[in-house]
Amino acid sequence: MAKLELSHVGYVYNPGTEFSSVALEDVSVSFEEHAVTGIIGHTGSGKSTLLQLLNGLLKPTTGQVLLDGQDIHETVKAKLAREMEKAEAEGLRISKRQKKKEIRTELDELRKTLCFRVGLVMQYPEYQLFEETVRKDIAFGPKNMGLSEEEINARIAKVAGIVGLTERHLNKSPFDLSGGQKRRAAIAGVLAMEPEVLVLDEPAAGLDPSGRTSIFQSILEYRKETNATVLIVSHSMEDMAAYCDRVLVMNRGRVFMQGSCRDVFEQSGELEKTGLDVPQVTHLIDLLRSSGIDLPQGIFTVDDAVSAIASRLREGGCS
Amino acid sequence: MKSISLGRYYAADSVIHRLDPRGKIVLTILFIVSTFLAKNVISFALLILFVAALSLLSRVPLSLILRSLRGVTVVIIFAALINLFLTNIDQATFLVEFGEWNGRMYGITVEGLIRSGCMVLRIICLIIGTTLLLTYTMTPIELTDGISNLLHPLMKIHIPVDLFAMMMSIALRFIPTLSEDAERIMNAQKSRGTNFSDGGLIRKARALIPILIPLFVSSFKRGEELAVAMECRCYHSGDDRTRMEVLKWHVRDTLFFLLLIALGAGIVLINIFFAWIPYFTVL
Amino acid sequence: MSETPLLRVENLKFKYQNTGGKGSDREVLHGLSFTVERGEYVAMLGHNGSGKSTLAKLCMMILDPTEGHIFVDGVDIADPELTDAQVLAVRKKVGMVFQNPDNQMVATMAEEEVAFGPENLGIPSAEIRQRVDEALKAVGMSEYAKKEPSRLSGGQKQRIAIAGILAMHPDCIFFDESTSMLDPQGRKDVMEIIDRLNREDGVTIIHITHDMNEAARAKRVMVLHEGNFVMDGTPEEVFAQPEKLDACRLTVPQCTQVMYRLKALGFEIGDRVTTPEDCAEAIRSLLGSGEVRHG
Repeated sequence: MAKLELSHVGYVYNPGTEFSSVALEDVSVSFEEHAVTGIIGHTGSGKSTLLQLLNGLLKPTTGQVLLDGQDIHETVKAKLAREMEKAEAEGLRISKRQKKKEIRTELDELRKTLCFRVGLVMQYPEYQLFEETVRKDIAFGPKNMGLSEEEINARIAKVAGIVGLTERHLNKSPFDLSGGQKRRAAIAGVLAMEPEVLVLDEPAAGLDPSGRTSIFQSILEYRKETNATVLIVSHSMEDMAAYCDRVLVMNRGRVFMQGSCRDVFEQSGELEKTGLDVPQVTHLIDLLRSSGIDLPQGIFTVDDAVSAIASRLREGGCS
Repeated sequence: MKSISLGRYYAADSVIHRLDPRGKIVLTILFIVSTFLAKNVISFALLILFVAALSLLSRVPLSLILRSLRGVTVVIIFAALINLFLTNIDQATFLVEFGEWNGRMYGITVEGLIRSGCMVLRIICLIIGTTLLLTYTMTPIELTDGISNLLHPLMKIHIPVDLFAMMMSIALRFIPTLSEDAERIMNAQKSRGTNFSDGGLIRKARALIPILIPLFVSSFKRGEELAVAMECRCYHSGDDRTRMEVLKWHVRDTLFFLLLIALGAGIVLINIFFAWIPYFTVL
Repeated sequence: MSETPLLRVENLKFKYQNTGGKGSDREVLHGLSFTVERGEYVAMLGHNGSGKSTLAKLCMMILDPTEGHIFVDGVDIADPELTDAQVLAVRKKVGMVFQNPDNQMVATMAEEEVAFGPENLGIPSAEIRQRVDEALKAVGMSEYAKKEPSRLSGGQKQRIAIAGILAMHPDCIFFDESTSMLDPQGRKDVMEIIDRLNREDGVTIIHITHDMNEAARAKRVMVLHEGNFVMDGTPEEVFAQPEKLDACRLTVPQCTQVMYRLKALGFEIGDRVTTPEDCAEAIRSLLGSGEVRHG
C-alpha cells in the first residue's frame, strides 16, 4: 500500500483575489512505503507547495492527502458518515455518539502528530536553529512530542551518530558550527522525531561534493534504520540517479512524469523539452547513441555507463 | 505568499505619476490643510471637484481608490455618528427627537445631518487625496528620494540626510525578504511541532522565541553581507555621489502647485465671502 | 612587452584573529603566490572552508592580509597607506558577485540596483543611464528594468547583480559561488553570461565554485586545499587526477570519470576530457580505430 498519497490535489494561493495563482492542479501521486523518491522540477513547478501539503502546513484547495490511507484533513462528519455506512453495509449496529467521539479523538490525534509522522526538512534548514546548544536544538522536536527525558537523550545519541555529529559538537552553540555541520544539526533535529515519512527540500544545496555525499549517506542510513519512506527534492540529476529509487517530475503545477530512475531518464528528450537536465552520463550515452553506436537506453550512473561502453568497445575489438 | 506590497503603488503612466515627488509631498501637505479649511457646502464642492479631477488624471481604477477607504470605514462611521447625534446648535431643526437629558434635547437634526455628511466627505477626500498623491502614484523609493531632497539643506548643519535616505531605501528593499524569512522559519518550527495557537499569552510568547532568534540571526547575516557587497561596489557616504534619476521640476509641477494654491485660496475666500451659508465647524 | 598582470599575489597569509580569548588564531591561507593575467578565465575550486572566499575578500580589500602582498594592476592593495581614492580605484577595477542574490541588493527597483555602483563612482547622470541600459541588455534583463528585485527569480536577481557590477566597467569580476543557490535554469543563464563576458568582452573572470561541470568551462583551474594551492592547470590537466581531487574532498565531472575508468580497464583512451561532447568524440574515434565498425 502506498504510505503517502495525493489524490487529485489542487492548490491555489490567495484564492478569490487578484493575486490568486494556481500552484498545483490535479496532482495524483503515491509514494510507496520504504522507497526513496526524488522530486524534480523548475522553480515554480509546484514542488515546494507539494511538500508543504504533505505535513499539513498547507491544506489542499481540492483533493485529498492520504497518510496510510487516511485523509489527513477529513472532517469528523465525513468520516462518521463513511464509517456508519460501512457498518450498516456489514450489518453491524453501533452507537453513533460513541463512534463520533472515537473519530473525533482519532482525527485530533492525527492532526497533532502529523508533523512528527511526516518530518519536513525545509530548504537551508540551518536557519531554523535557535537553542543554546546543538543538543537542545535537536531535542526541540522530541520535546514538543512530549517524550520522556531518557527517550529524548537516546534519540539524540542515535541521530547524532547518523548525521556524524560528535559529543563535542552537541555541546556547542549551533551558531559556532561550520556551514555543513549546521546543516547536519538541523536535519538531526527532524530525524530525532523519527518520522515515518522523511521529506527533504534540497538537503544538499550549497554544499561541496563531500558535504553532499555525507548528507545523502545520512539520509540513506536513517532510512535503513527506521524503514522510513523518503522524499527528496533536488536539482541535481546526478544525485537523483545515485540515491533515489523513483523519480517524480513536476512541471507547471502538474505531474509531468513518474517512475523508476530508468523509466524517467530513458525519456531524456522529454525531460530536456521542459528545460530539465539529465545526468551527464545519460547525456553522453545519448550522444553516442545518436551517432549510431549501439548502447542501451536509460543509463544514469557512471558504473553502468562504463560497463556498457567497455563491452561495446571490446566487441569493437578495441582492447 | 508574496502578496505583501508596501505602499501599494499602482504602476501607470499619468500626469500625476510623473509629477515631481518633492512637489507631491508639499502638495499633499497643502491639500491636507485645504481639506481642514473647507467649512461650507461650496468649499466642499470645490474639494470634491479637485479630488475627482485628481482621480481621473491619475488613471488609478476607481475600485482601487475606493479600497483605500476600507481601512478607515470604522473611523468614517464613528465620525458620522458623533456628528449626527452630538451636534450642538441652538434652535436646531429636529427631524427625530429622542428625548431630553440634562436640559438638552437629543435627536437627529437637519444641521447634524449636514455636518455629519460634510465630515464624512472631508475624511473621504482626505484619504483619497493623500493615498493618490503619496502611495498610488509614488513608489516608496520616490517618496524617500523626495523627502531626502527636501531635507537636503539640513546636510549643511551636519545632519546625515543621505544616510537616512539610504537606510530607508534598504529597509523598504528588505521588507519582502524578511517577511519571507519569517514565514519560512515559522513553517520550519511548525514542522517541528511548535504550536502557535494554543495556550495562554505566556505560552504564545514563548512559542515566538524559536522564530525570533533565527530571524534575528539571519537578518544580521544579511546585513553583514549587504554591507560587504555595498563596500565592494564603492559605496561611501559624502557629497560626491551622483544619481541616475535626477529630480527635475517641470512646468506641469508648477501648474499643479498653482492649482493647489488656488484651491486653498478659493476655500479661504469662500469661507469669508459666503459666511452666511451655515457654518460647520468640527467638534 | 611584459604587461603588468591584473592580479599578482605574493606569499599571502591570512589569520582570523580569535577575539574570544580562548584557542589560538586560525590561519586559513598559508602563503599563496599566483598571478592572473588580463583576460584569463580561472575557476577556483575547493571544499567549504578551504579559504576560497577569504581569498576573494582579501582581493576586494574587505579583509587585510596578515602577511604578503596583493597587487591589482600593479598597485599593492595591502599597503595601509592607500588613500580612499586609490581604494575606490581598485574596487572599481575588480567587481564581485556574491553567493546570495538577496543579500547584495540595495534598491527596490532593478535599474536603480544596477545604477548603485556608478552612482557611488560619481558618474554623471546621463552616462549612468546609458551604462545601466547597456548592462541590463548584456545580461538580458532589459525588460525587467522597472521590476522589484523581490519579484524576480534567484537567477534573474543574480543577473541583475552582475549587471550592477558590469555598469562599473570592471576589468575583473570575482564570482563567489554565485550559482550555488540557483536552480538549473538560473545556473545555465548565469554561466552563459560568465562565459560570454570572458570570450567577447575580455573580462578577467575568477569563478569560485565547487561545481565541477562549471569549473570545466574555465580555461584554468586552481584547486585550493587547506589554505594552499595544490593544483593549477587547464581543466583537462586538473581533472585527469581524480584521486588527488578526491583527497581535496572534490570530485570530477562524470564524463571525466567515465574516461578515467575506461583507461583503467586498459582501453587506449585519453583522460583529458571534461565535456560529454569531447568524451563521445574520443569513444567514437576509438571505436572507429577498432577492426569492426558499427553504425
